[in-house]
Amino acid sequence: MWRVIVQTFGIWLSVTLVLILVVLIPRGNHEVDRSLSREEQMEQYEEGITDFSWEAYGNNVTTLIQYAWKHKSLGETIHTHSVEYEVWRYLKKSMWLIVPSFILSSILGVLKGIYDFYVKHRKLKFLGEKTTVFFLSVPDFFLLLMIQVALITLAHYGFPRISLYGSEEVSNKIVGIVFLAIYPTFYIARLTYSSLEQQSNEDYIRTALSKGTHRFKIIWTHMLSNCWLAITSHLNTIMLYILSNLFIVELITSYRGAAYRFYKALHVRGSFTVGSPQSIDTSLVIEYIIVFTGVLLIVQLFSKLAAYQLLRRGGSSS
Amino acid sequence: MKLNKQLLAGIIFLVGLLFVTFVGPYLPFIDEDIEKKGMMITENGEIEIPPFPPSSEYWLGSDHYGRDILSRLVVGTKEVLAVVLSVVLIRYCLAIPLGLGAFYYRRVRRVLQFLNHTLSFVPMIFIVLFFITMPYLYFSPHRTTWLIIILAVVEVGRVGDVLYKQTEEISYKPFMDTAITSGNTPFQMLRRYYFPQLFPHMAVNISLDISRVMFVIGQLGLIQVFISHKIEAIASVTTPAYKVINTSHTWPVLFQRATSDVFGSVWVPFAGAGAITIFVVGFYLLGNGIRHYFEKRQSYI
Repeated sequence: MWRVIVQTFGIWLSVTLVLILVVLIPRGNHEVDRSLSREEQMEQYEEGITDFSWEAYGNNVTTLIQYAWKHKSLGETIHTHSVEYEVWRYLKKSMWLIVPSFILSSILGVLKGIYDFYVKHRKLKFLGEKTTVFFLSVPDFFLLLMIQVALITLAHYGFPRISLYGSEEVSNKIVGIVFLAIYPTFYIARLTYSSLEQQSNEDYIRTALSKGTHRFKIIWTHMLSNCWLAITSHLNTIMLYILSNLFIVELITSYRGAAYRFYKALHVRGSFTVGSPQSIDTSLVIEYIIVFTGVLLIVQLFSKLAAYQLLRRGGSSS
Repeated sequence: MKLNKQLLAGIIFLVGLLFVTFVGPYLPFIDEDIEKKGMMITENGEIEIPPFPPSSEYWLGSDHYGRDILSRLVVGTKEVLAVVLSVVLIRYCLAIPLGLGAFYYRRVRRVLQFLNHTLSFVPMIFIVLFFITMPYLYFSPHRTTWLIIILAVVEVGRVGDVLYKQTEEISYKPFMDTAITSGNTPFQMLRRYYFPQLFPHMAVNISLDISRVMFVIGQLGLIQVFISHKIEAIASVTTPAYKVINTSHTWPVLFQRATSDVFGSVWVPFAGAGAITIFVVGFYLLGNGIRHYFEKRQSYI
């Protein structure tokens, strides 16, 4: 068990270090000679910017380490806060989205999966697997745009106006949580369903049915306990998806969270003038990398511990 | 036999897609050159400026430069298809040797495991954002190629792992023992027994992967990361200034102003999102249809 934990931790550490080293790759020399013609300036700029030197790289790394050692911080933002404060300020808001949507989608997903399986041969079939397939296949950003437009249009016709943009109000958080939870919920539902389906031709179910156990009880107590292992092994995928989607949700709803700040710190440029630095907020980016991979580390450790416990109790892996 | 509705829908979609890709641009109501239009005078003599809402002239409306969206979508199909298919192609070219190699050699298995562990710590969009902001890539004339490669490589581990597990599962089947005892060489085993079994799985996986890649490209469009772009000079007095412009007609480009379009000209992002959705759902259904076609199972409950 300890081996697995140490191994996971080791991989996390190496991945994070590699990412940090990528961030520190020098972004070239942005200065240009203004006496040149405009075209030559552009050429010089492009050459300077894409010029890689090991010296500058080494410099970047040592400066960062020295600064961190001396100040016990990675730097200050332009708002004269420490970077750590800035990261924490935005991360707090994102956590309000990530954690509830993760928990919500896990619970609802399992319930939906059981429901899908339960109504498989019944009249309500169309509400079962079909809806899961629908929500799994339709891109969630399409639904997101639809819901946004629908709410805005409804507000025109006298329905209560719901605040969709920003991060301060409760409704902002609810909207964000719902958007983030849509896909993972149905992903888990599908997982639970197919895990149940896989067991459906096992002999123990025949035995249970012949003894007169109610269908629902078979699913709930007997079959479900065999699903947990499959679900826990996918928790990491779900968290990866949520974090990826966080970028879209935060940018579309102007939610000022960690993904939004990370995006801003990377300075994705739409236009630039010759001579302007192509820099990014290195220290902010580094800390967000640690934070994001850290969240995934926690989820992985949790799912590995859970799998360990489940295997010890003797669940079958399906 | 019960009708396989998903497969049918998937095949109809595929035929439709091919039709739009190759015949679409030459249809009479498609403006192949995609002209810009600064303004339009309505029947009442009023002047309208783009984006024009959907009408009999512009079936899906027009974009901010007065270009017909339907034409843009149809003309862009070829490019979208090319990008998505090349991502999937590169991905499988790397994943198939990796997956099968992992089945035969312990070292390759280690590599695959390592790749999987590593990538399970980095969200997809995260890594793409990371690389495209690098000046080396940003100014590179081969930026599109690089992006396609990045998108392909990010998921190689996952695809290779799935393939490895499927191969392993097949190796436990009873007929494999027969194959071994009847004296097949490893290569014959692969050709006669593994490939025919793996083929349906692969067809399903590739189809679902095409769907996923399109989805991810759509997501990237929403955060203003586009597959192809061009750097062009803009008017400025003192220092030379440049702007990144999108030259392509791929569907996600319609998301460029999605956040503000939601309030006024909803048809612009909706047309893009709609096209992407049809594509994603189409390949999803195709993949699931193929799976159902090959799947045989019994159920007691």
